[in-house]
Amino acid sequence: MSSAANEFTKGIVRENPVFALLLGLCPTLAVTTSLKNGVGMGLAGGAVLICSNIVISLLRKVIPPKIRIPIFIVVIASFVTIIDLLMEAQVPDLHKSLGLFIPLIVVNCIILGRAEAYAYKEGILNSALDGMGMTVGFTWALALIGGIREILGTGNLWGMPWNVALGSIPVLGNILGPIATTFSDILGAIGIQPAILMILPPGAFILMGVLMGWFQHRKLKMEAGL
Amino acid sequence: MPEMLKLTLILLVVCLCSAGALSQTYNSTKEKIAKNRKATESIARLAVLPGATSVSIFNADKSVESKTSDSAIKAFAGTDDSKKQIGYAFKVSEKGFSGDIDVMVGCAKNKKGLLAVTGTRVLRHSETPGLGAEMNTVAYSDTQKFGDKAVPKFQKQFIGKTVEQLYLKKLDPKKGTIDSMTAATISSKAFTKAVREGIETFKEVSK
Repeated sequence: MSSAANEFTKGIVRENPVFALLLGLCPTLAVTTSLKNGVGMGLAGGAVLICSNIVISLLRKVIPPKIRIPIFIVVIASFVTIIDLLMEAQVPDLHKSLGLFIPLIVVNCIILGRAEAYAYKEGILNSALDGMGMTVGFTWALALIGGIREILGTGNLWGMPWNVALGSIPVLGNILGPIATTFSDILGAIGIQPAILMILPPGAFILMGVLMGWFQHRKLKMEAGL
Repeated sequence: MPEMLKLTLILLVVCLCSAGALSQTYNSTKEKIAKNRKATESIARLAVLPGATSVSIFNADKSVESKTSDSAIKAFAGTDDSKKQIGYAFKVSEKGFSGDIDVMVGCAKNKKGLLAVTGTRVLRHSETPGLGAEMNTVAYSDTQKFGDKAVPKFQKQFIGKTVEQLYLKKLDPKKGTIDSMTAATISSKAFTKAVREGIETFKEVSK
């Protein structure tokens, strides 16, 4: 594997920001009550992360090490605010759905963490690739947590009943849809209700714990196998 | 201490550049954002008054200081095609969990002659996605039935309610009729307060 490809792929599983680096857990726990919110947060956070990695990497030679943290914060916060204003002026519809995540992103530790641990030391291309990999990793992790919490907590997925949601996937939906519908009918018949606990904060902690445990288990197994 | 001075200067320059870039962006986007917000407001005015096809300024010369916001309440009267008056719409705002929640409220006299809510619409808010932001989430069965006209689940509770009923069940068990959103009491309270106090202020204005 070439090193550039490695910079990109490492964030997806091996150094996944949520499950392996444990970065950005505040928004992860607060926002992932549904699949839509998980994806929204992942993409909005990712866009900022890629840009801030590039900016910090560009400025890395002029930022003195002793005051790097305040400079990171000033640069990232102003630059996110500028994106926020531009979005509200030019694409108000997009701003309505993604703008909500902006205040959660500005001082997110994932942004600062990558600036400090990576972009401050590496070139622009590598920093951008690192940002993209982290974005993919962050988004799938949030989507997974959001999706599971939404199904278990409300019985929905992407804002509609989960069997309808699965049924509307192209091609695969023709098989998955009817299976899911039968399954949810059985659940309904034996009186199983969605557990609202799952979309409340404790649900996020429980699910995070289970998923992280599984993730670590896989990792240990893989390391032992090598 | 030349190094301390140097670091201070660098930080100062960075902050100055950021501030400059921010004010430049703010100034160049200010008008466009104001225009966008005005457009949303005029759409919302009709949306909160079902049946209304046009609105006109109602209280141009006698505005009263609103309790809920710094600016005075500015109400619009909505009429239908046959010039029959449908009700009134006005904007209120209240501090939510993070930042202001701006709500367009529509109200009309009910059979008993009391002002009751005809509709609400959130113009702007910055509540947490998944918690307070759920105030704008429409139930799936409603999207199927009403399409674009569907009212979010939380706001649906307000329709037809009068000032005395606009309290949260959780906080005012005796008079409350509004169920708060799961794990978002502050946002629910702010929204309810905005609507309630808006109507109260409007009563004073329209006297």
